[in-house]
Amino acid sequence: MKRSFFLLRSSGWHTLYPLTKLVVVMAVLLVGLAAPSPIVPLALCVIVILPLVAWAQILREWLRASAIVLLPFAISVLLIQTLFFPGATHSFMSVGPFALKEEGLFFAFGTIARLLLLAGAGLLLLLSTHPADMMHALEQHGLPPALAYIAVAALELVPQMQARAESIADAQRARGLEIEGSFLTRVRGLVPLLAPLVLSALSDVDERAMALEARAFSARRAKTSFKPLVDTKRQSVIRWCLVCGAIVFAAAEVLIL
Amino acid sequence: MIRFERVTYSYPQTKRPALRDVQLQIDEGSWVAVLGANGAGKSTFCAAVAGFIPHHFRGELYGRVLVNRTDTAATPLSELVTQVGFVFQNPLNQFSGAKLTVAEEAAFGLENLGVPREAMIRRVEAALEWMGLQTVADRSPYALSGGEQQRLALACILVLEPRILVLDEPTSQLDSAGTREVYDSLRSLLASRHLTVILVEHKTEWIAQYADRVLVLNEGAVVLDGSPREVLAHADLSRLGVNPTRYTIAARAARDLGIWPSDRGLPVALEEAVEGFRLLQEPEGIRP
Amino acid sequence: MGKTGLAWEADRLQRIKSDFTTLTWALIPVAVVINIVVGHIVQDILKLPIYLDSVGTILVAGLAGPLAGAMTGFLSDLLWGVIFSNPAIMPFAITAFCIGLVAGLWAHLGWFKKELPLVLGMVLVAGVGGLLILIQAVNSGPLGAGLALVLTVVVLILTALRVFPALVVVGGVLTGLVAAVVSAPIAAFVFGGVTGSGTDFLVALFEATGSNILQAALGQGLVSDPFDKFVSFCVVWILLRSLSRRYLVRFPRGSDLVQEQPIEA
Ligand SMILES: Nc1ncnc2c1ncn2[C@@H]1O[C@H](COP(=O)(O)OP(=O)(O)OP(=O)(O)O)[C@@H](O)[C@H]1O
Ligand SMILES: [Mg+2]
Repeated sequence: MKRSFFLLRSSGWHTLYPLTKLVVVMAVLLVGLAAPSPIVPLALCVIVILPLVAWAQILREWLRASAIVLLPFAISVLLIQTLFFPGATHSFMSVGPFALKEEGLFFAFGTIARLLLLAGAGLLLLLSTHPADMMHALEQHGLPPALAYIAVAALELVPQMQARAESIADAQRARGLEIEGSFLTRVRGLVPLLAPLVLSALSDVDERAMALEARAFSARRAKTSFKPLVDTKRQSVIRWCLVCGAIVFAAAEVLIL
Repeated sequence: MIRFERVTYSYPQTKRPALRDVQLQIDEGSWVAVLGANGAGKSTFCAAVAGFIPHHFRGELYGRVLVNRTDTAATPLSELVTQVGFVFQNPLNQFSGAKLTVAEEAAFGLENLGVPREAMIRRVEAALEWMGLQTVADRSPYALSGGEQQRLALACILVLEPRILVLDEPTSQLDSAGTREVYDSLRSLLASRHLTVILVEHKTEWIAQYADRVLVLNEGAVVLDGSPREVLAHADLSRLGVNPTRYTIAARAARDLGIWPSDRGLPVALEEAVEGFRLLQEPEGIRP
Repeated sequence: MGKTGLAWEADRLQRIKSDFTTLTWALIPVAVVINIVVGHIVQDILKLPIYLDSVGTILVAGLAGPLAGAMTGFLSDLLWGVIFSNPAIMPFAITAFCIGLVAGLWAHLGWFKKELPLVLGMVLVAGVGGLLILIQAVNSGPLGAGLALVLTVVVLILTALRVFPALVVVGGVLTGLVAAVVSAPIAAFVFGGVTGSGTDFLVALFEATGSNILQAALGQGLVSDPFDKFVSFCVVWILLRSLSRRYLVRFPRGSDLVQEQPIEA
């Protein structure tokens, strides 16, 4: 489990206020997913998301990550829906005992197009914005600080837990426990691996809580922020325009098309 | 100044008190070491000084704890933290975990208190400098060595500018190099700032060197209270589950063998021990 | 009437607020990471046919109430998407939210600590198993019903042998039922019924035997989720028994999870 979700680049896209990036992505998703035709998400992917990805200088990683997300899914949906699409009547080909259904193919195509947009837009955001910055921006716009805290703290805790899991696995292996091999072996490996991991993580909670208290976590005052994160008037205007535009567009799609 | 007025405390759903009738006063600027066997109540004592008892741990508290004349039970924890700072054992558990750099981590407490940004920057810089961490200010807290991490934990507390510092086994997770780093930073800090320190530490050699008062707890009660010399050389120390310093042990062994004069006190620190053993070699008459 | 209703609402609000102590805020990230790391180890490293990614959610739901549990679940799914660069799974955060709510309710009713008489417990487990079989029979035909029957027999045996308390087993199966019902529309409308994982062959089977996409997605969920949540509830129950009473009662709702006990001497 590598932490490869954020790529630091010196692009213009990277310097945008995180909330602006979030709004761009959300607006695209709204317009794309409200459309009944799969052409719209596909088109948005090509004419909006792809250029932004290129601007953010993360094209290669974005392609890789999108492929990893989409490929197993695309294969599965194509296979299953062209073969078994419920109620399909037109088949365009048959392979042995199976008939390949036209409706199923279209359905699979539409689903893949929508998912391409969902994954593509989402990855644009994830790969170019550190979650801590995103939470920080949301906090500046009214997200309760405690919620921002748990999100970032959890993220930062993952590698620590990961390291602990590995050291436990090593220790258990040294004692002759097998965690690879047959199904039963793996099931048997479950408890000695996970029990110490979970129990030790839980036993830290009390000290973590006290340490938070010792740093005024529960103070009921307006918090300030050490790390500067600048929003601009212009971006704020753009955001509002995007939100309104997207809503109008999506409504039009649903009502007219 | 800290005052315990007949403090007895039991954790929720327990009968046996974890602190028993503790009555004492700690003057400003003193270094107090707290010793005792496992479960003697050292951490509980610390928690009571810092107000975690009764704010964080419920349970039954009798008597009063006063910090700078205010009753801790009547002051919210978030206000107490600017008077009493608390440093724990494990540095990793003390970090907020939600900050990506050392400087941001150090600022966390100030953010919570709503300190303006300019003041925050100034205080963070000062605290990092006291702890010798200026050069790593932009690194991830998790990329530091153990000793550095514990110094950062200290810096995180020092930014709040407490007058009293409570340290509960701050070096138990560190090797000797890390321990030395932490104590050296602490010493230089105290030389420049008049802080009161309450320290739980099993390594009595360190205490002999730094503390000017030692408390020994047993089953929640203060059983010994005095200067390091009195307490660390006390005959009951081992019985109370505390290891005397290796110098005391050596001298006591020498006394049991009849080499060390029984009317002479036992040393607790290295210099005294050296001096004591040196005197043994000189003829009786010319001892100063 | 109106006044008492209002007072009752205020009371409830107070209760929810009091669930979010600093201890709860410290617990949630740890639980989120437990969800993610345990889920990852089980699914991707041990490659077992089970999710086991809601142990932390259920635990928080018990220790700090339904809303805290729901938040834990929701956040876990979002973060899973972030860490594994898979934003497509984020819509399932809604399911995780609901799992937290149901588990929280279960714990609130004291049903994590309550022991039923064996016969009553068996009847209850059989009843819930019957319900699952019935739903599956209606939704996805004999295949689904058959698989539900297998699960029912397994949990009945485990209850009869007193391995796990009946209410914990039932809670798991019911939570799984809720999870399946909430997930199915997401799976059907966002993913066209499949998810690109091993359980997709079930979707294919259900479609081949006459289900539509929503029914097939539901059918698949009703096979995977009750089993997964039943195991997760049992894991949490074991965890609760290995954590000290002293530890548990520190949490806002810890006393809902442990038997009353005379004060220790
Ligand atoms: N949260 C708690 N609930 C109930 N009892 C507790 C709790 N924490 C500590 N105790 C009990 O209170 C007594 C004092 O514990 P304390 O942690 O203060 O000891 P200590 O001197 O710090 O020990 P150690 O050297 O192990 O850190 C012990 O008997 C312990 O079991
Ligand atoms: Mg202790």
